[in-house]
Amino acid sequence: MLVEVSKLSKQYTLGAGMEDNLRAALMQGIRNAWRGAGDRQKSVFWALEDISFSLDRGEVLGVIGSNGAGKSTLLKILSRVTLPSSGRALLRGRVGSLLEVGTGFHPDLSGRENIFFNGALLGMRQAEIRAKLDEIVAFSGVERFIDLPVRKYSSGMYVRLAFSVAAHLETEILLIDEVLAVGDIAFQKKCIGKMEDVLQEGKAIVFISHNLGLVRQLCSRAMVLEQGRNRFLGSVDDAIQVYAKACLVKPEEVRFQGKLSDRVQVKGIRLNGRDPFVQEVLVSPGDSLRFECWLELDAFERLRVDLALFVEGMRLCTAHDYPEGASCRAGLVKLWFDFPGGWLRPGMYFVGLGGQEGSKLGDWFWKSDVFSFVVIEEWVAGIHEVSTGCVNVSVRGRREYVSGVGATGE
Amino acid sequence: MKIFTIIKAPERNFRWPFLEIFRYRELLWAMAYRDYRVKYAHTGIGMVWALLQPLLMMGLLGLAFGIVAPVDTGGVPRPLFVAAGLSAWSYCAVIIAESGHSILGAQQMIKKVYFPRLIIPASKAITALIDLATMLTVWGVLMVVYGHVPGWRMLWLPVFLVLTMGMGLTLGIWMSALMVRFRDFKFVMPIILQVGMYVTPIAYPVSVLPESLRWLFYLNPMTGIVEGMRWCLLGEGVFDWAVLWSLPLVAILFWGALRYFRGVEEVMADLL
Repeated sequence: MLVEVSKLSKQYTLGAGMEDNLRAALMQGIRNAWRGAGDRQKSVFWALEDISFSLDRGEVLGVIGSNGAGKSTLLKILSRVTLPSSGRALLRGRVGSLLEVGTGFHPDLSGRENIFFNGALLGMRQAEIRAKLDEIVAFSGVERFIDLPVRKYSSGMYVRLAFSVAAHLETEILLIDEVLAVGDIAFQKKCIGKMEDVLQEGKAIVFISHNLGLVRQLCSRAMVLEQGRNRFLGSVDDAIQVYAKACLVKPEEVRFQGKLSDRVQVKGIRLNGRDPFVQEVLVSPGDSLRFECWLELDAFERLRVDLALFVEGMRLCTAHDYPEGASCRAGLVKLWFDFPGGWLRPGMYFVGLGGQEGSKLGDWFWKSDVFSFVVIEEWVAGIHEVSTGCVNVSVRGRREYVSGVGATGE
Repeated sequence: MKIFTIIKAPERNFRWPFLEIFRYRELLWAMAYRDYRVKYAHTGIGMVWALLQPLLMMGLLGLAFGIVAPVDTGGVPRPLFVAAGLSAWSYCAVIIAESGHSILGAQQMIKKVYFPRLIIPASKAITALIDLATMLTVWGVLMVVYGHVPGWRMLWLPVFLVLTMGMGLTLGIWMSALMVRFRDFKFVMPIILQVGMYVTPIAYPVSVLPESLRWLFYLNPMTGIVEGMRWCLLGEGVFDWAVLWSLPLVAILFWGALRYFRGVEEVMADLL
């Protein structure tokens, strides 16, 4: 076993005992001397409680859970940034992590100098860095600027350079926090590629992610954390089910915002016939999408209902049922929106729902992030692996000779 | 090399950190080199700044103790006298000032990567060797100018330098750890440096102080160190045995600093 974790717990003390200013500490000292130290009120918070697992060569453990479930604390303990309160972990081999990309980079120093310092910080020997320098620089693609201070780099160049240092660290155990990979799909791809390489070399990975599609694609087992406890440890599909059930709301709990919000109520939603409130829906890139919504409505004169797709907080598109608005009677209505397949690229999408009465400003209701779904990483005909972004387009570039050696145009 | 790591709850027993620091020696050098590059690489006149500051300081001290309130240096030319005392004090002061803030300044690294945290303040003592070298150069030039010969006592120089470094690190390590817990110490540090500057006999010899007050000055370990430094650099005067008092004092304070630092180190990432 490369990693053996047994009964790992981490406790944080809130309030008393951790005074961060001198006055409070002095006051506490005086109070304790007066009354005896026994009776101070401490409020204790368990960020992690009784976590055990082991990991063998070639295994990837996915750790999923909502925010604050203890995922980052677990990673911090495994990377030795913080110590556990009890329990132990055994790590056989060098530990690297892709959560510390660019740590210790100094803007005034050149790319080359930063490679050396960052490498040393991650635990590489100077000789090792020197041997791999060319490779690191080539991988980052910033050869021409390697002797410029990194403050002159674009943010993309900066991240690429930082990542290639981390990627060239030879480790037996790799810790990855996906939070970092969000925002740059090309970068995320590199992380994934690196993970696959590492796996083939027979190493172990702990992978923390919100992206259930990625967890399903890469992990051999998964653990669901809930309020610091191990809720489930086992097969990835089962773990995703457990997680989805634990964190999804009921359709009745969807609250709209806006003036009309109390005149509309969601009764149910289906995506391709599946209920996203029961389990996060995973679709293939080639699948067409049918969104069905059941809404309990009051009577409206000219109602328009909108459904919008978001990716990373940005509105990708909006669809309407009646762009000009149409009257409807009070009661339960069913709406559906059909999107063609092969259009969305792999990733996580959020769905927003809302509506507008007539053209009066302020007569609207809206809720973003009603539910989410995942387009999984899977390559089907007509979807090119080389392209990145969130939508597929069928545009082809053209090429022709203008002049040059061997040109025959004239 | 096979690496095997055991992670478990803090044990609260003191261990000397030297072995682990030795294992991370490459990072220690890398940090010191990085500090040096950051400090001097992109300033217009670079190293000239390292020279300018001690020269200015010498001028001010010369003015205060030579013209405003003249003090007897025992026949040693005043610039030489001040330069010898200042070389020890300024090395110590630079270490305290730089390492005191060092942990707060390295928060991002501490929250993300493991390494022995003591490396951060320790690396400042290495970078500060540049300031020491500049000061000793100034002293060397003055020795030539005044035709002074240091003699065999120069052999003692490493001892006093190690003591100076030990004293600087002691206070620097205390300060850096205290600042993590109590930000108030940001304001305490400049006060210590300012007071230290006057209660350390940099530009005056201890012999000008009234006999009854001297023991008070020797409570400050830097008093003995500066006196000793002058004895070995100038080759004048008699060896004051009270100087040896600084050795155990610095050793005990240093041990205390390491102990306190270790306690804070365990919870450092949670406190920052």
